[in-house]
Amino acid sequence: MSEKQTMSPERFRAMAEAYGGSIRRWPAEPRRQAEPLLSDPRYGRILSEACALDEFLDEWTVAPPSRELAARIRLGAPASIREYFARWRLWLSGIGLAAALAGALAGGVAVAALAPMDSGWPPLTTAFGDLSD
Amino acid sequence: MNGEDPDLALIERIARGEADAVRLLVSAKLPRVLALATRMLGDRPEAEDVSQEVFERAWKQAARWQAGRARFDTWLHTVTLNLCRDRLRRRRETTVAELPEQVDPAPRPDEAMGESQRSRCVEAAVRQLPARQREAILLVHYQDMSNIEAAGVLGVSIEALESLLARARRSLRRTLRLGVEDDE
Repeated sequence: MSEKQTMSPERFRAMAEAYGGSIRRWPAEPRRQAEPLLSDPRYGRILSEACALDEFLDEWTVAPPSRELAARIRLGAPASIREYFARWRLWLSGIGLAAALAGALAGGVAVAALAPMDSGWPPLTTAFGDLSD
Repeated sequence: MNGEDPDLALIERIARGEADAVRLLVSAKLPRVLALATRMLGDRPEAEDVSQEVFERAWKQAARWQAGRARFDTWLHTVTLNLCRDRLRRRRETTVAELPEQVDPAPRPDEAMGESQRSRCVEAAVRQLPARQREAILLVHYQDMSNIEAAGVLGVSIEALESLLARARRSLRRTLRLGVEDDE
C-alpha cells in the first residue's frame, strides 16, 4: 500500500467527526482510504460514536410538501405560462366561432323579422275554404 | 464544477417551456428546498413562501442558465439559504421582544424519549448552533450535499467546512448528552 493510500487514526477520527459514522457519506478519497481499516475494532468504535449522533439527528424529519404548494409553484413556471396563452388562444378562437354562429343566427332572425307578416303566402286554407280573403 | 450537472437536461427543457420538465423538477427539488427552508426558519408557512420564491427565481434563471458555472442544485441551495438568512435577519430586527421560549434540547438522563420528543430535542439543539455551523450541518447531513457543493454554497474551503462540521457535531453531542467530553 502506498503512502498516499493510508489514513492515520487522527485523520480517520477527523473524517468521522466531520461527516459522521457512515463512510458512505465521506468524500470519495478518504472513503477509499478508510475501507481497509474498517475491520479494526479501534476504527469501528470511532464510527459507532459518530453513528450515535447520526441516528439522533435523523430523528428530525420534515413533512413533505403538499400537493397545493407544488401546484402553486408549477403555475408560475414558463411552461404553464405558455399553456395559459395556448388556452387563451383556444378560448379566443372559441369566441370567434361563437360570434360567427351568433351572427348567423342574428342574421337569420333579422331576415325573418323583416319579412312582411302578411304576404298572402302560403294561403291560409282550412277545411272550410280559403280564409285569406 | 465537479462532473456534469445531472439537472442540466431538465433545465434546458424547462427553458423550452416543457410542462413535463417543470413537473419533474418540482417533484425532485421542492422537498429538498422546503426541508432546508423549514429547518432554517422553523416556520412551515414561511418556509413554503421561501420555496415558492426560490422556484420563481428558478423559472427566470432557467432561460439564461449557463452550463459549467455551477450545478443547478448548488445554485438552488444558495438561493434558498440566502432567502432564509434574509428572513432570519429581518426577524431578529423586528421581533426581538417576541422571541419564543427557549427549549432545553438536553434530554433528561432518566427519560425514555419518544420519537417526536427526540425530534424536538434535535431541532432545538441544531437551532442553538452558531449560524455557520448550523448551515454546514443542514447542508451536509440533512441535504446530503457533497463537501465540494456544501463548501461552494457556504463560500468556504473544504478544510473550513470540515472544521465547521466537526465543531457542530461536537457541540451537538455535548448538548444532546451523547457521551463526549468537553474537549473544546
